[in-house]
Amino acid sequence: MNLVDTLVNLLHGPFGDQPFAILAWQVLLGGATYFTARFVRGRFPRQAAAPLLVAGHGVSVTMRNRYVLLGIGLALPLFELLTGGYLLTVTYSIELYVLLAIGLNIVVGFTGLLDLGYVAFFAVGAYVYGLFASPQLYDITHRTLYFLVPQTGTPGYHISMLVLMPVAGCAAALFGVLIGIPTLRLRGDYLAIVTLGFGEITRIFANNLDQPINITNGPNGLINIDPVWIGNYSFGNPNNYIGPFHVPPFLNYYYLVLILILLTVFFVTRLERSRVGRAWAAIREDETAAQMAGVNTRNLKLLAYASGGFFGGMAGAVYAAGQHLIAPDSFQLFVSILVLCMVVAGGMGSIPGSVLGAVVIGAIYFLTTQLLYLRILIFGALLVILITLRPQGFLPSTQRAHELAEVDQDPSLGPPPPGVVTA
Amino acid sequence: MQNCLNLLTSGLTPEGILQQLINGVTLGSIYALIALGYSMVYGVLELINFAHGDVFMVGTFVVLGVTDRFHLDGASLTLIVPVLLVAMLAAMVLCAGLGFAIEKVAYRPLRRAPRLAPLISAIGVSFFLQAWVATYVSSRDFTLPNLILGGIPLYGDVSISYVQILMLVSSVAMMFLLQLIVRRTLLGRGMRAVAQDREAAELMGVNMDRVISFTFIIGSALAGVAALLWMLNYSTNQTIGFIAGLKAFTAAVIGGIGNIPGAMLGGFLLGLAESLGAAYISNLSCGVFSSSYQNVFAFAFLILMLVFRPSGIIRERVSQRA
Repeated sequence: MNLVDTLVNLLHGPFGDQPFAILAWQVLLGGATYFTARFVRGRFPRQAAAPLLVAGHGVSVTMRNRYVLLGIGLALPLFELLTGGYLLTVTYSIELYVLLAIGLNIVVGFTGLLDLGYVAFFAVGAYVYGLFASPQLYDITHRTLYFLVPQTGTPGYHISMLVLMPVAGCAAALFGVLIGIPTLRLRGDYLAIVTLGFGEITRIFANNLDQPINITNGPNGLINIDPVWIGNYSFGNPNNYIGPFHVPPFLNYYYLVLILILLTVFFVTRLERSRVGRAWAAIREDETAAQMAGVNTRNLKLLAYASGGFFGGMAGAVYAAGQHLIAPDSFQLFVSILVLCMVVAGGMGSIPGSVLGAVVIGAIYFLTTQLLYLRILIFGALLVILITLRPQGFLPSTQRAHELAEVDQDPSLGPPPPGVVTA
Repeated sequence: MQNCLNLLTSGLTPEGILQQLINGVTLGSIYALIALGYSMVYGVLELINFAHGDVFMVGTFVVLGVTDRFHLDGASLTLIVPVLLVAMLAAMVLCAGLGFAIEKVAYRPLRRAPRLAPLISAIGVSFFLQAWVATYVSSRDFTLPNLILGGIPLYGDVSISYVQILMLVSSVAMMFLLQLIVRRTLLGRGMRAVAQDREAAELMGVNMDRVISFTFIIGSALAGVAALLWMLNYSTNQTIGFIAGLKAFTAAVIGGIGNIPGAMLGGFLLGLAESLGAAYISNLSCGVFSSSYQNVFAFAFLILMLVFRPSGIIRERVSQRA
């Protein structure tokens, strides 16, 4: 019996097809998990308890374990190839989510703007790459602007990723500014709903812009998108060999995204510590006070959307190249929510946290594909359990943790006992 | 251009518009009922209860489960009415229990956590409920047979069906009942106090936990009523909760979150905008936009509303929230 069957049996209990008995069983199971986790957390000193839940305390990314992490990142896919390559595609998907989580962290974690429509940036990036690196846009211009476009050659513009990645990023950044302008006055949950609306609007437009001019090819999406290529080396070629070693497409993409992640972390860390980053933190803590102190909140909020959008757009471009085809259905609201959960579970405002959150939640999510709806069930339950046990995330940003401590106690400890009045 | 003018004039008949107005108001009355739940919870806790739409969705399945036990297709009203009442009560009770449990499990431990944490656990609950229904009940679409037939002719061949009248009347009645609870009872006074200042209310001896629990129970019970009304006219599957919830929240914001007539008004306005928009956008835009943009209206309406009048149509109190 494999792991999946075991899990399914565990979740169904001995109740066959009686929905309410199964529900009762699952509630029991969830409760047991929750209270066990609480018990474990309460019994052991924080550093020794369930490693995932307390990893944040005392762990800092020092020079030494930074190289260890890099080594793991470099060697991981080689081990995964030995197991047949399926795990590699999973890791690659998680990597894209790491990139998205770091990008969203700028908006949500650094600046405190709750964005539930982050998938829009991903979509914009993917569609920009898809349009310029597939026959689609060529077909349109070929027909409508036939007097400007050469009528010969292979169909499609086939522009290189090296050019299109920054273009896709900038397009998404511009889109971020466009979303940002009307929402400048909104705060908190209202902003969440409006950005969610923008995300959905983007998807609906992608779904319907096959009329009157066929731009996005509607629900069928764009097909025949070029893989990434550098000179004669095509990332999408299944028969690449470096010396005697076979290099499957996803290995190429894995290292490409790894490089992107490293660059992103490099820039975003510096951005966080810069004048801009400190201004973002000021906006997050108290927008009015920041404004009084001379922070140009309008421009800086737009800059946050733009920078977050830039990384989302880049990730989208790589995604489109790796998939060869994109359709509006890949840009559901669910993606935004998944990324937001990664950021929050990892610890808002903390870059190592975003990475860890993306890896943990991504692994839970992508390794349970065979379970269909059941994985959403597990995902939902885990989300509740994780967040109630550790509301500040796995690796909370230390600066942010201090700022958040309005109440003189660890927020993870829950409400104070009755009778204690907190100011 | 001529073609476009033809399109414009051919679609816009008074009968057509009247019919869409009726459809819009009835759809809006359901949004309004769900919106009341959002509005109350937001008023008291300043939390978007993302799982509320899914409580409503579970309610529709409870209604289905109850009515399924009887052969209602073609039955007389003497059977249909009591069965529907039982279904409504069952949906109200189960939804209320679910709302109570959700608050206890997913929100109460997070009351002092960073602001985003409850939002995440709400999303978790929402996923859980959707996936649970899809796995253990069904992931197909369901409709009830047409139980209450007929209607009152209004103008030309436009008529308002008895179902639509029922939807309107019961949602307005529910609103008055809720208004009564909030304005006249001790519990309602507690709710208003917690909404204004949680800590001061606690110091004055308001049992906050109980007030919050009751807020969730009442809001979820209203979602149960909405579930019955929804099933009389529309179909259900495990995903309707999210969209319906989103629109209901939009309605609550449009009307002015935290107040009851506002949620009602917002619901009606949103329903109208949506049904008129979906029916006539194709004509008005010369065929450029089709009715598949229906969901865009709700969002566009919300965005415009928040940008130009963030406090909603009926302003409750000046706040820093938006």
